[in-house]
Amino acid sequence: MELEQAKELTPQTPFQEFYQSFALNKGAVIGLAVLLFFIAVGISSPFLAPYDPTQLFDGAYRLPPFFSSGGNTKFLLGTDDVGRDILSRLIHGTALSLGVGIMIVVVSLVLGTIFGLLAGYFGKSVDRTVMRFTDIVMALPSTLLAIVVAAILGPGLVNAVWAVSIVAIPNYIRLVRALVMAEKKRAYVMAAQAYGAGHIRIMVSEILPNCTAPIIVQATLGLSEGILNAAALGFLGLGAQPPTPEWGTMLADARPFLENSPWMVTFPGLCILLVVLALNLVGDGLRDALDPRLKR
Amino acid sequence: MLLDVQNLTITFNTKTGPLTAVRNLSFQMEMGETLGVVGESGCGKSITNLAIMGLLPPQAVTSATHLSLEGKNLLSLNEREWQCLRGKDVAMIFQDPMSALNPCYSVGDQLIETLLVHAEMSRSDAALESLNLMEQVGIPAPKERLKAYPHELSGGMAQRVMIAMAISSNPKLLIADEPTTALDVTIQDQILRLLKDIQEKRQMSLMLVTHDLGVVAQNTDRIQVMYAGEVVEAGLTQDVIHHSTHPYTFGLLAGHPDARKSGERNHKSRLPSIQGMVPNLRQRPKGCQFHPRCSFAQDTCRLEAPQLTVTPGISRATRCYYPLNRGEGRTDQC
Amino acid sequence: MLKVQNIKKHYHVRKWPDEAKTIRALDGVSFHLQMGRTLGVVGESGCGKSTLARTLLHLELPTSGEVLWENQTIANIGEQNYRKNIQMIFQDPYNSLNPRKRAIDIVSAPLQVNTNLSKQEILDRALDILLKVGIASTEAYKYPHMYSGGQRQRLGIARALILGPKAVICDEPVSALDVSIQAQVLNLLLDLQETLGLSYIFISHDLGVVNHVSDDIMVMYLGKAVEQGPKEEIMQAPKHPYTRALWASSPSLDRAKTKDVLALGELPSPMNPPSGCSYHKRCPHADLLCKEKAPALMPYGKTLVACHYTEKLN
Repeated sequence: MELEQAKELTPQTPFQEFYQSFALNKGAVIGLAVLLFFIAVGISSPFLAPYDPTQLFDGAYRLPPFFSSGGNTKFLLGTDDVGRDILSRLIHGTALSLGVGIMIVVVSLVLGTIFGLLAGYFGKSVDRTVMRFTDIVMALPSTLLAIVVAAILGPGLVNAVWAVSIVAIPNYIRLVRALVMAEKKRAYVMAAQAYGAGHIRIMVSEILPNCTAPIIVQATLGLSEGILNAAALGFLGLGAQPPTPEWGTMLADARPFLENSPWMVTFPGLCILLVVLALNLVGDGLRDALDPRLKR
Repeated sequence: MLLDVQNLTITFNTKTGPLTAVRNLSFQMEMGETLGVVGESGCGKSITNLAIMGLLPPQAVTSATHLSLEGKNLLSLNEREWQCLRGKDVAMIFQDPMSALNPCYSVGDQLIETLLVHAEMSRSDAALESLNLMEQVGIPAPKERLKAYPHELSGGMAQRVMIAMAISSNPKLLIADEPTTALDVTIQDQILRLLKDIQEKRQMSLMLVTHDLGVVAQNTDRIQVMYAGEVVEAGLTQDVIHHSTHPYTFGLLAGHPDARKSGERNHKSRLPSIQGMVPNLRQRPKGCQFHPRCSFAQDTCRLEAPQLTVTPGISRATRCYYPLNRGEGRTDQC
Repeated sequence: MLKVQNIKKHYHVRKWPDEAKTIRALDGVSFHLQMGRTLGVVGESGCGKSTLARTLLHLELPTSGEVLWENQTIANIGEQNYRKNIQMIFQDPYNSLNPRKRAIDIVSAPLQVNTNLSKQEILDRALDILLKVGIASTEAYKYPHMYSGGQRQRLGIARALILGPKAVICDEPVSALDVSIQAQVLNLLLDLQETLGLSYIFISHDLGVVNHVSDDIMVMYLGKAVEQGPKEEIMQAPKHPYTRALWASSPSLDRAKTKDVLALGELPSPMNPPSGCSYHKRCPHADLLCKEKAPALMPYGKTLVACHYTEKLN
């Protein structure tokens, strides 16, 4: 039989099957829609935003949004204390905040999976070394640790990403290690050993694919946590530096005007809330759709 | 009559449509008898047990023209009455005794708790009674074992504890669902002997559900063979084992590589096997449920489902249009 | 062809604060497997069956003793060459197939690891072996959960056979299957043995099955063989008290139950084995000698029996 022909005979893949059960969860679909909306906004931010996010408008300080009295349709969501358009800053901030979140997840996921896989598969001294490292990291309050790392590396967006990633690594290590230890005992692993497959092949092509479901769920939830943590660092002045339009930094800047100009905090806060909520909904939906225990 | 089941049908409403797990099941059990229920996975044997215990999940729809235990109608019971009945009149033991015991409590605590649910007695009386039960089920050093936690017991011991719990309130019917499948051969033998012993002493009825034909052959009075949610053959155990009339029973027995048959069968000869597999209960075949796998199937079998009919002259019921001749033993054919 | 000489496998387990303990999972097992023949291995849990399988697959190194393939040590012929000659079929067809891979990928994986064949050649060979076990090429692209239990076990058999081994370890290959499917799979195993000239090491607790497929039988108890020899001898006239108890305990269609319980009490734990003869605590014939001294495997008639009182009891 030809290789081409062989492909056609493959029935529904696990992915298609997963999509069907994911689609049954309304909350997750709504979350996914919101998320896709934000991603689309983030990608097209240079075209969508009416103004440059750092452009200062003289005399237009702390204008309220267009729907409240004194508002102006020129600045749909108002302006901040130095006269920048909040809508433009939010739109540009979308790309930044989501990008930061994704970078955090990628860094912590990759490192966490590698160490978790090694610890779970080899056990013994490898496991002990890795687990003691995670114990140490987990023994420190995570926000505090992120602040310390950010303080050592110096404030800035890239350093904030590293700081938050390092804090998140132990979660992945523990999860992957537990999954690998459970999978390792199954007979298909012994079968692979019996035909002479090497350690790397067994780890990567036999065990890892069976651990993906919980890892994906954890990554989705980790994404929202990463965005929150990065925003928190920005809020504390250790993340993105002004005038970068990052949501957490925007919140921090708006803090002194909380009573007089509430819209300055409302909109960045709302964005963070929406994205995190959407991610959590998607994460829960993924968990339900991927977890075989809930399926049967 | 202890248990009377008439036309029991159990349907599950699943996301992908209704699934009839048990269809028009009728059988009776007398006081003190042992009934063996044999069938493969998905034949509806476990579902039937759950129905008798009132433990079916809410998405199951049960209907029957008659379902009674000792004359008590089970169809009209509410949850409270079920609770009263379970453990008192009917008790059940399971395949995996380890997961049926709560790992957080000691064996004694769980036994005492079971006793207190159904009988009005003081805690100290219950403690004495539990010691007595442990002795009855043949657990060595029962006093020490009462303090043990489930993980400290072996599989055989845990099953003995389950039996002690099951018989604690003198049930009239004990349902044993694959009680020895998870156990080693020598331990299986001990547990089956224990069940037999207790049943005789207490004049209890025993329903032994298993897939192992050998276990059924040695331990039951009557047998009923189930296939795709229906009884296909029922009768006295020795009769059914040695002169089966339904092609399914016949095929199962012929394909059984029994240790004792070595003389009659050539070494490494191929076993007569039933082709194909159990039907999907969502897409049941038309007519007789067994016809796609049956080598004797005729047109009638493909069109209309046969009824469970009593063969004249023998105390045997078979669901087949063309039952195999009683004269043919299972060794002559296939 | 495969010669196993007095292999022992001991594990050292240390559970703080207890003293380190030695588990004798295999304690001196020897046998000889000839071309085209089947050795049935019978025993209950903890008897060392699975350790034996792992040791024969060279996944564990024996503590002492030697596994010889055609009179050569594994070190001599090379691990990879040895693996091509001996493969395994697993008990649980749900567990032994990777749920994320298609059947065709599962079956061809051994070739990907051990050969340099092209993709097309691997595909052809995989489809060929699948056909031999009764799975059509149009059926070969599904994921394991889409197959029935019997088909899954066929996939496991195909994976074991694709490297063209001469010996296959069958670890309870039918015990997880439905009764009507068991006969199909047993027949397939027998057919393959005949056409490919395979040798089997057939591990099972089901005496009926072992009796049907074996030429020789080894009965194991707590890491040791208590009786081994030609099937007819052992099946028709078991000599060791444990073999007899096992025979009497196993359910049968034709034979009524024996009156007496032949094996008393519980299976001992390999962590804490009894002194002397490991069976003495369950044996109705045991006396002081059995408690103190472990019997050696001695020839009696055509079989080997490890019991102090073989002659007295027979």
